[in-house]
Amino acid sequence: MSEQARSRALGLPATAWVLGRFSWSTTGRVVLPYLLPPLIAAVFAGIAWELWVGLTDVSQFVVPRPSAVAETLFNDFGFFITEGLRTLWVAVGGLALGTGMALALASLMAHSRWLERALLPIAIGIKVTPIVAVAPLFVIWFGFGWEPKLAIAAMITYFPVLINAIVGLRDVDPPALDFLRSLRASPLEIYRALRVPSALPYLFAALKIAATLSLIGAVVAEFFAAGQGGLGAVIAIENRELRLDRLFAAVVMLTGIGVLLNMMISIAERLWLSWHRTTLTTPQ
Amino acid sequence: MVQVSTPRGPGSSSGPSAPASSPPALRLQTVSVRYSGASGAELTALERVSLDVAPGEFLSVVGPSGCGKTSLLRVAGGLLPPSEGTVELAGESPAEAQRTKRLGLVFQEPALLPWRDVRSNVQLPLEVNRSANTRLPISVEGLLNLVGLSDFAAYRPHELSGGMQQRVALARVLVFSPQILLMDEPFGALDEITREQMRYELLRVWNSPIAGARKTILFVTHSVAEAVALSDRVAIMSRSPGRIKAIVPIELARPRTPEDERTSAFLDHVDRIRILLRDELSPAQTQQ
Repeated sequence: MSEQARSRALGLPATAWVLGRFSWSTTGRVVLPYLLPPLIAAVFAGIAWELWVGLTDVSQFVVPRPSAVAETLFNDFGFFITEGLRTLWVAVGGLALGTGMALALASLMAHSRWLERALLPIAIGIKVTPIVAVAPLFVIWFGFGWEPKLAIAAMITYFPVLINAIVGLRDVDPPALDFLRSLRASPLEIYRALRVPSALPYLFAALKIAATLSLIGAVVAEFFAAGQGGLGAVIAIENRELRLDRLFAAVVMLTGIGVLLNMMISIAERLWLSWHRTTLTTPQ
Repeated sequence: MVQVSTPRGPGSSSGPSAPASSPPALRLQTVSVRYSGASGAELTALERVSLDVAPGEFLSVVGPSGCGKTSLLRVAGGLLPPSEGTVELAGESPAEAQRTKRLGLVFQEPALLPWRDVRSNVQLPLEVNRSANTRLPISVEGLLNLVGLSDFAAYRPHELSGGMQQRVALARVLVFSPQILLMDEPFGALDEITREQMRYELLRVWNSPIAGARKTILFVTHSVAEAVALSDRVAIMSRSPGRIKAIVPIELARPRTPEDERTSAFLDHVDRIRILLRDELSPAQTQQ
């Protein structure tokens, strides 16, 4: 029964694969119903786009044909993968840095209303400042290397994690907290045994938002530090050169990276939150 | 009955027939609890309550809802400081009893950690405040066996029924061998059939020598039959402000069985307590 419940909770075959329990029959039953409809829809949209560009006289400098984008992507795949990986590392690095800082800050703020009152306005102040406005400053401060990019991506990602972590670390079951207090568990023991696991559902919700933001941060950072490459730099350069097939190819790569980041977080969520009611109540 | 004593402070191994010299397992002296409400009005939950519970005694507290039963239990457990009066557990403060892991709490909700399996939930008390851990009189496996959950050690709480979850909560307080159990309507959320079954499960575990010396139990309930079936004495609380109105000794032989609940002696006790409680209902409740 426990095993059954666990496999019920782990619907994604990708998760099964991570656990070494991948099987084609599961893939057929579970993946195809989820993968086929969006694929079919995408193919139809591509055909409609192709026909629209082919039948009207839209300039290829305004909208390239999907087949031209695919051709560019295919012919220069090595280049786009290299630049894509650069962007992916900035996004992942910024996400890790921003999440790490947010968790450290939230852990302090969750324990003290006074600290929360002191620090949260500053965090909000940083958050509401448009990232595009301060990005050039970061380049001046941190140079043209990876440092300003990581800082920009971190700055855009920390806020959802911070807010959700504060609430999550406080949202503990009151009788469970009473029980631990009746044993004189230290605040650190309560933090580890009760607060962190209780915060995980909040954290994963926040990470899904932050992952998307980290990609935005990475691209914005690459606009301003264009010498260092990455898909943001590719877009900035190809936009100037009006090579829209290459610009679109970079955009397609970015979409792929965004989907990949979200999938990774969803898989981790299903692995770690198999006990949580959101996993248990989700129909397959 | 064989009693296994644990290497603990004074009064730990004394049964119900304890010598008068040992301090009571729990002593409340003129304890009052007042809350200041949102409107600034003061609410008195407990009014000068005094109560002694002997070592190894099973004492239940019954009363109408809102009479301060839960406040009484929280004060005894050191979770709520009394506004007046003193609380002593075997001669020491609730804070000291917490520090030495001598009191165990069971709530109406099982309050298990959903991400841990049954075994790991039972082990939780041993992972915190480790310096107060004493050598266990029983292994975790033996404890799971005692509460009838040895086949469910690897299950998560959500895979168990309400009654099974409360058995886990019971095993979780027995694992660190506290001297006194404070139970706040532990069977209140269970269905009638499971509830009656759990009474005798609790008595069986309480009487079992393998869980260590017989523990003192302070048991809060709103079921008169439950209180009579379980207790050595039943304290009846009056409506707010909460006071202890009477204490009725239960003169029924142990061990008790479900069949005892049909005897006239049992029903006499229930009637006596019901009559004492009836005066505490509001006029609207009495008319029903």
